[in-house]
Amino acid sequence: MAERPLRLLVVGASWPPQTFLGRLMRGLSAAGVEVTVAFSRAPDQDWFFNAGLRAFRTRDWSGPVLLRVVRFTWLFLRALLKSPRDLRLFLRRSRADRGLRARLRTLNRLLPFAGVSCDVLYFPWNSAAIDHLPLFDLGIPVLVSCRGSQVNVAPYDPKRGVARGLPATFEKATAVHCISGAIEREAQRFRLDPTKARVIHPGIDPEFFVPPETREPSPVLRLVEVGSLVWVKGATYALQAVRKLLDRGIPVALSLVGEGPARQRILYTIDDLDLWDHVTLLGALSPVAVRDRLQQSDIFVLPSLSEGFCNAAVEAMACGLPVVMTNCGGVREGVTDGVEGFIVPVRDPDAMAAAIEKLAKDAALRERMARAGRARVLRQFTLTSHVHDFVTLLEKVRDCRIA
Amino acid sequence: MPHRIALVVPTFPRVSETFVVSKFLGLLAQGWDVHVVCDRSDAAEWSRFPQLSGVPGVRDRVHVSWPHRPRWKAAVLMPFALLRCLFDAPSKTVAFLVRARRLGLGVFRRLYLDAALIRLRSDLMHFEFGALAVDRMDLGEFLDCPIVVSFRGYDLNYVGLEDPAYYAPVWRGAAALHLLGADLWRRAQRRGCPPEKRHVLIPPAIDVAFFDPAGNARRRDTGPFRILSVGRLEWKKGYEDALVALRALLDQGIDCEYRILGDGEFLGALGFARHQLDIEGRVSLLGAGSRDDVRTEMRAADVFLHAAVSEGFCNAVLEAQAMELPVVCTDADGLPENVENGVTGIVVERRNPKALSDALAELAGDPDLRRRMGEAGRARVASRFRTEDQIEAFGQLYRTVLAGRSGRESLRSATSGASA
Repeated sequence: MAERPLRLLVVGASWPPQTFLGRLMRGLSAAGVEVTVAFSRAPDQDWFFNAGLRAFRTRDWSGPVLLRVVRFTWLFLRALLKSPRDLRLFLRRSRADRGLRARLRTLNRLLPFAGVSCDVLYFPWNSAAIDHLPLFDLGIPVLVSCRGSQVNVAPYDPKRGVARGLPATFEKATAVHCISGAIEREAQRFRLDPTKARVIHPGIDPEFFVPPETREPSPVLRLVEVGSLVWVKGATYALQAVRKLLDRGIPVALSLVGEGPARQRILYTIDDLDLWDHVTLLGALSPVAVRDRLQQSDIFVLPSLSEGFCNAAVEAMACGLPVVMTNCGGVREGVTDGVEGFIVPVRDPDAMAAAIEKLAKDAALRERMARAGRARVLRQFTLTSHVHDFVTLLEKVRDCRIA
Repeated sequence: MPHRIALVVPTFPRVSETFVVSKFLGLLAQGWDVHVVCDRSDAAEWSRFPQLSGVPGVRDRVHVSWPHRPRWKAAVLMPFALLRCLFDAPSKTVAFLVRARRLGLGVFRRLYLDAALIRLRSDLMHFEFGALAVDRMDLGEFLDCPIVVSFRGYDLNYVGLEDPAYYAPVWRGAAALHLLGADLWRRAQRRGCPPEKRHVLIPPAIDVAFFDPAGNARRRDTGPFRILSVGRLEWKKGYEDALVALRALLDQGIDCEYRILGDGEFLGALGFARHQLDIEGRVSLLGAGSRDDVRTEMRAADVFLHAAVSEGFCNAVLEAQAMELPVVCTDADGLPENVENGVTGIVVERRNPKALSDALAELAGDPDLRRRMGEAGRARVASRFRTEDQIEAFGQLYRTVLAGRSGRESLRSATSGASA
């Protein structure tokens, strides 16, 4: 580390941040980086401040109109005092928005950043980078992360402007972090210059995600899926696989950990396939509860249609579970078919059922794959090495030594 | 003096719920004093229904509720809603306040939410979707007015699935139920409806004069096989399975294209699936269209595809049959009652893209079969799903319910239910 700590400003995180993002922030802080995070809500959990993290306040464009006007005026005057140059830049750039309302909304988002001072601006999501594009011109080096769906799913939604927004952010960023090689290749479709890209796979804490001392035997095979209930995670394909396994007389039970808008679809499918006795929806769980659930399960399944990498699978592997995954995104960079588990085609419940059946009938295979999975996590996907690589990247970005 | 009927819907008019418009116009033509009560009414949607603007005073028959949110706005408007009710329907309003007094202060909230229904002083309220009715069944008592509730699919399939007693107030309080078909009646019973509950099965109907195959483009024997779907972009419509089936057809060397007319929140998922399956050049996501657009697309298509995972009955499938299009659809809910398997189309297992692509391949290779099924479809719809019959059936239902009210005691024993 340089003598003066590197000052990082994270823009576009929501409070509370996703588990992996919180882990990264804490890890960076522990490694001596001065991390400030922009939030539109004040952090209200102790761990955040205990980890030495700082909050930077932004404002949502919401609430009663009068309040908005007052807040906006205050932000405007403050920006004028702090940095007329930045204010002019924001005003000029907001002209691209159509309509007064859109322009006010954009300005409201940008104004808190006038006169901001840090060594590196970090956007953990592509959408945040697109929304804050004028910040790329403040003269501060910028790092953007490509994590998954915003690069390999959202651009194909005809109604969203993501495909149009991505290229400018890649062009202006000092460096682009990709969580897998697959994501880097996807980002190249949107004009990401490969010399700017750095692949750093996510990492987890293998002291926290540990195999149980003993896994209690169960008459039914306990499958677990961890992921938000959104269409892209494909939970209904796992439900179909469960139906097929039951029809073949293989006793299985599936727990779904996560919450989201696809809940209704999943409930309907459970009902339609008559799976009420075999599937449990556990909702969103804390990291500790996720670990406990993994430790009480036999196989991790995830029928995603698209993934950036496979964080949840890495956590499961660390807990000593064989995994059944689909062939998408960076999954094959974390799991080798036939070694730590099986990789099956997307949208193929038959193949998923066949892979689970193989594992169901062979306890020794499960054991072997579980050991291989844990070993691989320790070798390649620890939080320590992830944070180390990330700090190295941040230092290069600060010094503009990327290309 | 004709009886006044209030049809309660979330949005009016609405392309995806064209049947409400047809029913409204049909009942009006039969001499009923029909009104619509809704939460929203968009100008853009009105422009898609030229048939509505031909009715004198139609706007006075559509009552849009005042906004429920933000809450402060509702609170500010509440006194005005009360005054309006007192002005338009003084005795009804006072009776409402007296009967609903057990709600405590909540009575004013209810009065605000249901002000349109109170002011209307209708003789019968028809909630067109079960999910709309479940929290408001006590209105029957508060307004002393019988309630008819329709179940059209999603209300029984998804809403409140985790609560076994979710629809108990409806089973208890409705004067009669209307369901689109036998499958939905079975589902209602699975969800706790007593089998002796008075109910009628009235399938949807369509305007067979409008959906007339006479203007169909001459079916070409060259060019790609043209597959069409019409419906909101929702997961329950099974479009993902349809796209997988299309990929399989192309892999078999069948030259085909797929057009989808409709809009919805699943657009992103379909855009992604289209990209992932590498069929972007073969699939057109056309967005929402008017009834004319639907007919135009149907005229140019070779087959109508409906890959639904769940579907109450599906008017678009009826319209396709009326237009002499052969149909490939799944066995979801009411679809097997809609399409006669092997005669007007091919019905396959739901969630099974392979079965869909097999059925499509069969039709792609057999123009003669397509023509036969198309003609059989037209004949089936023209004889069994006519708007006039449907309106007549609703009229009959309302007459029975209203008669049951005027001569309560004498008729209670005589009416064993209008079950079809």
